[in-house]
Amino acid sequence: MFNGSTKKRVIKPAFIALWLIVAILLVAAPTFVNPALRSFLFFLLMWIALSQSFNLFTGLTGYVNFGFVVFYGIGGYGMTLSLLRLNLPIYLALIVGGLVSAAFAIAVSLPALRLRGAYFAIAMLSLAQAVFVIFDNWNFVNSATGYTIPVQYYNPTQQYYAMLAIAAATTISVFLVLNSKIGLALRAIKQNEEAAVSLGINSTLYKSVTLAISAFFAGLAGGAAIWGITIIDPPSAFDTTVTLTVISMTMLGGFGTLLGPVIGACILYSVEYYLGLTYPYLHLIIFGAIIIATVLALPQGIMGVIGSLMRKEAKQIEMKVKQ
Amino acid sequence: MSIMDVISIRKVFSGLIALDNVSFQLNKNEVLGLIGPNGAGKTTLFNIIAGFMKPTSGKVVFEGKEITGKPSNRICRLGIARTFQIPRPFGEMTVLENIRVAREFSHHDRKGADSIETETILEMTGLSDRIGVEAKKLTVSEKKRLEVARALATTPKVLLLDEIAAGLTPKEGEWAVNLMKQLPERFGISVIWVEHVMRLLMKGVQRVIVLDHGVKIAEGKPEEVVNDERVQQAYLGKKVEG
Repeated sequence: MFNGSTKKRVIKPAFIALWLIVAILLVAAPTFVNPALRSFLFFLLMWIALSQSFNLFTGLTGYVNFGFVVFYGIGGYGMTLSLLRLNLPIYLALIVGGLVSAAFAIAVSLPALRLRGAYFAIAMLSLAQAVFVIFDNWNFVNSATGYTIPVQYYNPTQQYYAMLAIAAATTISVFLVLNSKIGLALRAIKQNEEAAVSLGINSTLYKSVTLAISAFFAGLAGGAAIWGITIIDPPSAFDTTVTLTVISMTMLGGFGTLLGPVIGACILYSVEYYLGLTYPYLHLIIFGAIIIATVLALPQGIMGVIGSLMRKEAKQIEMKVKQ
Repeated sequence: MSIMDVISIRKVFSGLIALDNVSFQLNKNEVLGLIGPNGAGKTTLFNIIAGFMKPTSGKVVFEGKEITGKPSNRICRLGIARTFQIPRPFGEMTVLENIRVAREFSHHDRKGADSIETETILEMTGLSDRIGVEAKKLTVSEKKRLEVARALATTPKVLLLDEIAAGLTPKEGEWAVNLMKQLPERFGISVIWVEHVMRLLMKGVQRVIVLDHGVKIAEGKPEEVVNDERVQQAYLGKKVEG
């Protein structure tokens, strides 16, 4: 990927053109699609945003965040409370949701990021459960009842564009991080943390910052999702299934790649949506089968395989040029 | 002139004394050999100097300032670099990217430190024609040299080398001796070199300290140290009397 090659120069304009078409279609969509398809796209964009923000931390650092849903839920609650209690305008409320989630991530990262591997994963899983139990019993957040977003805020077109913007911003952030100094530090940390630290990298700082960025976007997506769903309560806001779905999507597409989470979300959410209509719960079996197949056949995910094929080809071309 | 002082370092692991009251000085532009049988505490000492472990007591003073217990990334940026006995390359990165990581993150705290050219580092470590190769595909010998190359890329003032010649062929080993000549002379780097291959070590160092069971048992010129009775006992066991 980092070797320039003749092939890459041909592919790049085609790639950009494809992106432009997708972008135009997505922006124009609300003018020509029916409400059912618009709702499908809204949730597809939500899963893209969530998978991508999960990827931003876990894909780049290798620390599996099994409590990811907590950032979605806290973002959702942050948005709802700032809307209903503080009477903030909806877009400001969304941003507050993201910021609360990011602040929570920084607080959590101080103890949690001292742990590695399975210990970190279990700690985050327990954290999400603990937060669920607290919210379920906490009067300040209306405990188990939760909230309903009043009907005057309901605006499907605006909700769609908000989610589109969040998904795009998350993907662009992954691109920027991958190609920045932070990205280099994270790759080093993922591949050998001791060595990274011995070469001057402040791994705690980079991991915390990345977790905060990941949580910010997860919180934004959570807020926008609740805006669309109009109901929030602890079991749905802190549902472990969200984490598992996001892990599956990212894994299928390829951890640590730019487009992997997008592709994974498109495939798995389409499966869920179309099978869920006719055979409720059948999609979970298909999900399971896809994940097992992915782990066995494509441990690096779809983009991982495409990436290594492209690198191989680039190398062959390079060899030919040399000869 | 001293660049680093290790003062009365003691390290206890749940009752086991790994280092006991170890003190020594590293002079500027010196290559100091650190030897001792397995389990003598050599790597523990490196871990303490490089900030990977905190000593139970004692201190490390670098350029007149105490650095004991500072985080290892800070210590690297202050100018102390280390290699790992078992190489820890960034396997998915190329040789050049490995070196780039070291370059990017190690310079914040030092203005005007003259950096060694990447090309020079590659040449000195014999990795010039391997720059595009993924580090996981390197041979053991090359991985060891990549450890050294990465450490050099941080522009250190003190370099801690942990068994860079172990498992190498005699010819490859000569490379290490050659390196010890160049580092102080060309780049003003002081070195502490841990090595089991005594034949090489003796050619590369000006002074040796010997650890045994966490205690410093000898210090001096290489030829003096090898003839020291306590050192011979530590390595070979006690002579049976009568």
